[in-house]
Amino acid sequence: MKLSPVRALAVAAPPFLLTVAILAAWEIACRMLKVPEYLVPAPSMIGASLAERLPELLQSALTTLSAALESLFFALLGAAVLALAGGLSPTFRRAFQPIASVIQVTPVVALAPLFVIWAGLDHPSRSLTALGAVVAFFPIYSGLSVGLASADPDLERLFDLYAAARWRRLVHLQLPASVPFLLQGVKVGGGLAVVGVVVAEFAAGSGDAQGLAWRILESEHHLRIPEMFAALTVLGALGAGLNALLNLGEQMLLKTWRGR
Amino acid sequence: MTEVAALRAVEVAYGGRPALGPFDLALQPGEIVALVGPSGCGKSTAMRLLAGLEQPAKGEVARTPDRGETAVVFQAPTLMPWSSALSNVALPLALTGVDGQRARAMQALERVGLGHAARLKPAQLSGGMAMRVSLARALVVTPRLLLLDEPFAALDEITRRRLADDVLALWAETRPAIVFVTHNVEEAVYMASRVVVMTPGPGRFAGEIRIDAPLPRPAQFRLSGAFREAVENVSADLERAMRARVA
Repeated sequence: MKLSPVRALAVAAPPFLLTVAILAAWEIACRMLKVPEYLVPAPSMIGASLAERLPELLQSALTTLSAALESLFFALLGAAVLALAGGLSPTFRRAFQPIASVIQVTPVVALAPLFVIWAGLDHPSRSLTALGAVVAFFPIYSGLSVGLASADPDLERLFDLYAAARWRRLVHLQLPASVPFLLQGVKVGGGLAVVGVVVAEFAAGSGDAQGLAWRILESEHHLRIPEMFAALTVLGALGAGLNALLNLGEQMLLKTWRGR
Repeated sequence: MTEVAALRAVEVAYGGRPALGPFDLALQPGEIVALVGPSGCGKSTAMRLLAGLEQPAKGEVARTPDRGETAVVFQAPTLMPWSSALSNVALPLALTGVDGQRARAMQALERVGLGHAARLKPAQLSGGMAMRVSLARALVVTPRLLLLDEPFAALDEITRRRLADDVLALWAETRPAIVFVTHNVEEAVYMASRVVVMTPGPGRFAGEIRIDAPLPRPAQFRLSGAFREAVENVSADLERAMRARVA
């Protein structure tokens, strides 16, 4: 699916132009209405703050990103173990289902204080990873569970016909069939891991973790609103970047999986 | 008792609704039987009984081939999308733990004329090619009993005819007993030594037409009087079976 330069431009232009238009309108409105900067700073101000604080913000972004990736890893590990157990034993899958649902529907904000306490006030970074992992867990677990059962029923019959052993069915049929579902789950889980990490950091408030949420809180305390917007901008870019990366990874792996 | 497989007064019901039978079918070695009947008459159920994939509620299923000597081709190619054509063909051998899997799978692929496509994955194959791979997967075990469940239903007419000829040519090599399900009366007459007509669900025996022309048949057979007559007889049996249901 190679795009010609003209076509690529046509695809990229509308979102770019709309963003520029919104920023321009925002800038003009702030200047004309003389909006105080502690309410809504103009984009130029946010840009200046972003440039000034870039080293710290990038440092914080790295902290948030590494916590999110760590969460994603643990979520993947936990989800793989539990989904495989469920794939091998339907009884286990049924037994675990209500717990998985509760994990899914409980708002992450409500869990955050608990995790901060469990991690110990001296180690808020642990609560970041743990909470990120909990929110990233469900989509991965659910994707993998569905994927393990997603093989074509006629293929399953073929495995019945040749009396395939349980492990052969898992290795030759269920695991490979689950790959697209797993990739989808990891993609969704990656985005949620960032949310979990940021929420945990808000709940922790301070400590050794100085991620982007901490920057936001700090600039709020000092009423440095342009800096807060700058941190938000970096957070948004981080989320979008991670999502784009996971998307790309998914597409490449899917291409290998189905050969085109 | 020389039969390869037989259904004796089998009955199957799904959720309390009778789906098949009582139904009898005995298969002699090397014969090709076409099962023809309206949708939902239990043809596929009869196939699953013959394959040993399902047990009847009543009646008896007799099978002489081992599991490894039975092969099924489904309506869709039913290939593993993540595996190459070669690995797909080798699957039955991998599952039964046979030696020399790759060489035998390659041989089977060559028999259906797809030796060059061994490394391609299903998404890179045309519908007809994918069906051929599916056929190669069935042949790789050198089956004594080959079950084809509407194998060409999703293909265009030209590909259909070509595959029908391929199946007959392959049959001539090892002469397995074949049962195939089809909606297409002409296809049934062209390929089968015996056409069994079934009633609407629950499927029962409605008639049987023997086609004596020797197998495999030349393409001109489709133009012969014997062919037309057999097609008309099967159609008439089918009509009668349908009318009996409506009455």
